[in-house]
Amino acid sequence: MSTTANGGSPVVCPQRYHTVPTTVITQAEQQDRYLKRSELDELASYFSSGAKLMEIAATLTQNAEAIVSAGANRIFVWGAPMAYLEKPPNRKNLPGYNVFPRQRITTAPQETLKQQAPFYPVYQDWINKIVDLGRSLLDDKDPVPEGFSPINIRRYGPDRMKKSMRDLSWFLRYVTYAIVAGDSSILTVNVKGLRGIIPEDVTIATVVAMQTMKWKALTYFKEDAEAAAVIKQHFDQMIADYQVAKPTVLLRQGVSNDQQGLQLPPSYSSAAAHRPKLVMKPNLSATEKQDAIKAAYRQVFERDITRAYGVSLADLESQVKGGMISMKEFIRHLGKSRLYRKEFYEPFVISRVIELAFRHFLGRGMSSIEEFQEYFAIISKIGLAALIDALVDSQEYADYFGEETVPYLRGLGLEAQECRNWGAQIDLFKYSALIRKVPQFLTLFGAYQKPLPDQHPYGAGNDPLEIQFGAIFPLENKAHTARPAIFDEDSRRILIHCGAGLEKGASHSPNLGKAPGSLGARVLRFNRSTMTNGNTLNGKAPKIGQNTNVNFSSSSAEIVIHGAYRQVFGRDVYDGQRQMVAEIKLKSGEITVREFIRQVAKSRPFRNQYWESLYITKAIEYIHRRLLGRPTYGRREMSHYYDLCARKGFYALVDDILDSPEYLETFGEDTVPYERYITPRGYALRGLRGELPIPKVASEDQSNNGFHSSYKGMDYTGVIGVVPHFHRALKQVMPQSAISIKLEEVKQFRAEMAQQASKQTLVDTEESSESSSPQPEAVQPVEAAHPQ
Amino acid sequence: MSIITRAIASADREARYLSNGELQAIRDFFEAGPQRLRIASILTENELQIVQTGSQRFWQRCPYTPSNSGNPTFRASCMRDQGWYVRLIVYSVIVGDIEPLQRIGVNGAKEMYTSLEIPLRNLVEALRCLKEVALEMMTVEDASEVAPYFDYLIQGMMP
Repeated sequence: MSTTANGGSPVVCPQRYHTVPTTVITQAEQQDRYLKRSELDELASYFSSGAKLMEIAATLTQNAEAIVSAGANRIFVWGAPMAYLEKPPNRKNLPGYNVFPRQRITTAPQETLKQQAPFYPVYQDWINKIVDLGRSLLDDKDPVPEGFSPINIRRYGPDRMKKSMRDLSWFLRYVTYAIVAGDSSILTVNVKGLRGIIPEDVTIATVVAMQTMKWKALTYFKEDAEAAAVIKQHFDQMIADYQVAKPTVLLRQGVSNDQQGLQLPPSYSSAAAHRPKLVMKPNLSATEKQDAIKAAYRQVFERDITRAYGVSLADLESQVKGGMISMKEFIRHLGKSRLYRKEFYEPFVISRVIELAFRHFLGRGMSSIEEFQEYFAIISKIGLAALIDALVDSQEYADYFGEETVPYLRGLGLEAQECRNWGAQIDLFKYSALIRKVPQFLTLFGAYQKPLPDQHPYGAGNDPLEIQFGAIFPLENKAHTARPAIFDEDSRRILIHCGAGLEKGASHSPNLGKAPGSLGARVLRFNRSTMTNGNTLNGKAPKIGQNTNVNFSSSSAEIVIHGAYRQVFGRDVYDGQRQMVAEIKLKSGEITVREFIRQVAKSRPFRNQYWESLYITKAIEYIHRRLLGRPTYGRREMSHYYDLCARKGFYALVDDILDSPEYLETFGEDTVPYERYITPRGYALRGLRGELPIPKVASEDQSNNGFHSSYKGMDYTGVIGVVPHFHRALKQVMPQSAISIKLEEVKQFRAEMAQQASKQTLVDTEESSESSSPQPEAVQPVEAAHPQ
Repeated sequence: MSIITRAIASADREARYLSNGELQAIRDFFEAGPQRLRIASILTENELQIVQTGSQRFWQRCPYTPSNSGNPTFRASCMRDQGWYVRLIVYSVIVGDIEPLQRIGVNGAKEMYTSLEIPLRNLVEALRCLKEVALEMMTVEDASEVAPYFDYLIQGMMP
């Protein structure tokens, strides 16, 4: 299965076990109330018993080895079981391990004792064994279960021995945790169900070992009845939990094909077991009834309405208290009340209303689009009241809540959660769910049926033209969890366009072949109609207008070749890198410009520069820009090229781009490719790092082919020859204010330019006719906008 | 999450017994227990007074705010939310951890209030008033114990 959508996955930490304070807090929190006096008393006694608990835990920890060995020696014969106990790795010296100053002092003497132990391990063990056995026979009160026989270590095997010993020390460890927590839920959660995991034939032996460990632990507290009671309680709880057969998993049945059937691991369900579910029964006391009613309000309105809105549905309350209507009917009436309509219907779109109603009346989120459609039909045909009737009368409501139970959120721990609405459901259960006006489930399920959108995994923006080179943009600081709008090549956006007749803002335009005009890029077209052999494209005479040599195109063979190298390589090539054979063929008219570009692109130096030294995404992106004059259009196009590169390689990629209909349409056979447009961010990337550089309009350096000196030393590949046109284009697309800031600067440059122009002799008449004329034009609008 | 569950979780992750340092931390927590309970009962018993005095002071400082606009619903929900925050602070004080406060009171709350068009600056001011009023009722020792929870809340609401 492939992933096609992402509902977001907020971090969740299910509470797996409880301590006395957390139990109290969770219950109070569930009912939105302060702590009761009885709970405070419970906490007070827990806190006052703290010192005692700490003492017990510390003693057990210090004597852990002796206790475990007592348990092991009771059930294993013919060997030294303690030899199989593996100690956890000593992390004390590892970086990041918390070494508490006190710990060093107190554990030091013990460590020296332990170091002596290995000299007589076997004898010591045997002596312990005999002593313990004798003592336990004397004062062991727990009856040894029937059918117990000691296990022969040699027959049992070292692997199982290791596991057994690990488990015995694990049991003791969890008992110490439970003692500290003051609550045995940590034992229940972890020990229940172990019977199915530890082999059944040693169940009795394990119980005997636990009993012996309990006895051994109690020997340290002979005079202290209180401590003994605590230890006894937790060990007994553990033994009882262990003896329970594997608990049944909590099943959630899928009612139809579009709902999943799931099971919840027992450890989760037992951890959540203490959360009270409120039930309205006729024989309850008044306060309990009031609690149930408050819970119903909390479930349906998400807020404490009696305090906030001063609303009290006294009539209904008295009816449900008096047993005239059941809790189910009460919930139904709440749903149909004016307040519910005002709070959860009027401010939302219908899809969101359904989602919220699911939370309020079924305690879960929607699980499929089919389910949504079913209820959407109801609410759009009949209305809100019918939706609430449908939810309250559903089979699911009857199964879970019946007539008397107040609905509750079936969240983590209470029920197995579906994965396909995971993030959305967790969001829905939050207190702040109401602020989300946009339907969440519907959009998520809708996204499952679409291919993965163009979205960079590290960024929120999915504009395919901005996601280039597979790069991580450091400036991307938008909310990543937000769902970005769909962008494709037909979306309108700001484009710094210097290419063929692009329609406003559309990066993909139907009239590709149109010449860019005098404001566009400088187009180099090889005019073969002037060639002596009269070779024309496909044997046809060129159309009128195609061969007219307007002043923005250039037709000299040298210039075309020069321009082709510059476009393909992004720089002037060295003499050794020139493709002399191809040049001669081009000059003689044997091959077209397109063919020449192909040969240059397939040459060794190009392959070295743009293929072999780059990772694949970057290579494709560069080659595409070089040859087709535009960035790639995101994932759809990229995956086509990935596929091609993987199957056929570099040469096929070049062929594919040059043979594409788009290339033929845009550049044809005789035009040297040029950069058609770039995005503002792409342009910014070429400037100094950081913000979008404001072009310095008047400082074109003639001797450097219109390339401003401040761009030297940057990654200007692709900019050569077109920078002046960007200036002009920017003038059109950027707000006037952005330019007018630089008015002073512009004036200064104009003055400089005037000086330079007077000094300079223009060498290349063709270039001068093209690049000198627009300069005044570029400055004019600024002045016009801000007359001084 | 409390100090105890944190200690157990980290010990369990490394499959070891609770270290003496952790036991000491828990022991300190136990010793401070009566103090925590005292703070909790002060806050619990005086909740109404804290909220009322706090709102009065808040309205003096920020007279132009939705809850002071005369709309009874706004006023009542403002008082409710303040009481709600006092309650969350009681929970946090008892477990000795910001977790209950963070999970229910801070995560997403800022966005919630923004979408309800409640100015966060005023909200922060209201919480400050709440803090002042609550601290005035306690001894210096208790106040220094409970103040960080208020500060955490205020910090989380900062626009």
